[in-house]
Amino acid sequence: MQTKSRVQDYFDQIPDSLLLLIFNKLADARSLGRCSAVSKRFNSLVPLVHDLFVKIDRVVPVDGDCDFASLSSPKPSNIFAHLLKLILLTILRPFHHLLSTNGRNKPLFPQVSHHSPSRVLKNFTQVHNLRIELPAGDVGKEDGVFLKWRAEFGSTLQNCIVLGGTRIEHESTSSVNLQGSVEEDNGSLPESFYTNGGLKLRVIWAISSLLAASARHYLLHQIVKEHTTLRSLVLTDADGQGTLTMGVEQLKEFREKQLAPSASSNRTQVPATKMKLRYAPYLELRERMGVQGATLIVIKPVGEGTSCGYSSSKREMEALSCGAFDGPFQAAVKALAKRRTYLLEMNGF
Amino acid sequence: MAKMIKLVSGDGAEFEVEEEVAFQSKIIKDIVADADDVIPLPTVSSKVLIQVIEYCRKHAAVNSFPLSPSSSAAAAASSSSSISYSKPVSDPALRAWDNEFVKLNNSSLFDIVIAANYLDIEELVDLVLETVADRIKGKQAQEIRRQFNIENDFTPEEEEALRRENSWAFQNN
Repeated sequence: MQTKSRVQDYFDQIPDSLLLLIFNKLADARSLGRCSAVSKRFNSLVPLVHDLFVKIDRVVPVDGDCDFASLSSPKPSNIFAHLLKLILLTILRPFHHLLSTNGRNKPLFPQVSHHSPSRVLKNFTQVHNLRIELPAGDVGKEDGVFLKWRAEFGSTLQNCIVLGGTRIEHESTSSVNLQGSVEEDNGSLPESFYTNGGLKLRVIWAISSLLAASARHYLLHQIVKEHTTLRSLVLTDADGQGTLTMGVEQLKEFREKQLAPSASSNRTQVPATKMKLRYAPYLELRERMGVQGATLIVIKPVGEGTSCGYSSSKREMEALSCGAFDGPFQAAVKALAKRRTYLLEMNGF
Repeated sequence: MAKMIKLVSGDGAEFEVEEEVAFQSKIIKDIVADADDVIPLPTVSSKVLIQVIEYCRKHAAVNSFPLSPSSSAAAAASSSSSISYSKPVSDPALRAWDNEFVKLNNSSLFDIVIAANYLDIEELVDLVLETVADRIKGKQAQEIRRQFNIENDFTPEEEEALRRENSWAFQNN
């Protein structure tokens, strides 16, 4: 029998512009990689996509050199990092797992099927919007505790919003033991917040989020340098815990300024920061679900925003925090924003 | 009394549609502005035109009412800065209807997208291309070729080199 007369290639009917649009909607790097082996036409168009999504399969800690970033091999023992770890460990023994995940002294090596993201991205020359998804959140946590952070970076931290608390489901509000009254509008922190470790825990949340964010930021340097067409970069994780974003101006700054590694050289140095903390002992998010010990922490480097008037930077903060998270978390942020603010300052690390 | 526009398909069948339905197509909107109510569409068959009109009818009803503040905020929030002709459809009922609408074989889908592209109906083009992208996602190169009748114009050596270079794409995890 003769070879089957080939039915027309469906894609022959559509112009390159539409095919490219399909690839942009596809966005998934692995699928696009396969497309580039389908035909010469596909092969020529795949490198031109503007929107790209890279899903990281695993993150592997390695010793010594790795080709992912131009890291010098990590310093064996850094006094400051040790001290910080010791102080935090002694105060917060139950939370030590927060610092030990991924063996924080070691550089992290994210992989897509045993290859680095840089390698994967080599094929794409016109990426404007890049989204990378890590397999999991970086901060270990206990049952019921949720922690979400969203950070913006340029060459260094620009802001970070942290939302945390203990999520609880319940049959009816009356069965829940509320710390303090439900609506304390003077917003003052109850005594219990200080005495039962509440403040320390929140500081740990803030530090953990900043550690995670600065580690991710450091990983991105090579990618940002190599892809000058980038306009937006978002690094999230499959747990939906942490989001790092960079826009056009921020990317430009990152590319141009010298990278400032921290002493342990696997993350960017976190500058000295001012934190605005808001707390509610209990928040009802929706029917049958509330948050205990809900906390909103807005973190900014010292010195930023001081040139603006107080009221405009306050409005800016409100807008920033309200846009940070979706769904019920956005409602939590809005509720917390009304609370009294407590100021903390922290050194860089 | 709604103003009616007459569309004539490639095989000569005539279809009368309300103006607002026909105006989902920017091309038709422009032509009618030049005072012509009978619009011949020689490249569009009746079968495809019927489907396109069905889509336009459904979406005309939605587009004539401005989005409520909450849904427009949701639409704005969910559309990132990615390339897309139009904002994603935020009404879940309409989205469900759209998903049913595109449950067609590839042949029909491509006929529709070509017509929609010709008529400049952005949302419909977007919807179909999104559907095609979903049908490509997760498949191996050979499957993609088979599904869309694409000819493999690489030599075996070229293909081997490509697979080696992009090995990260071809492993299943």
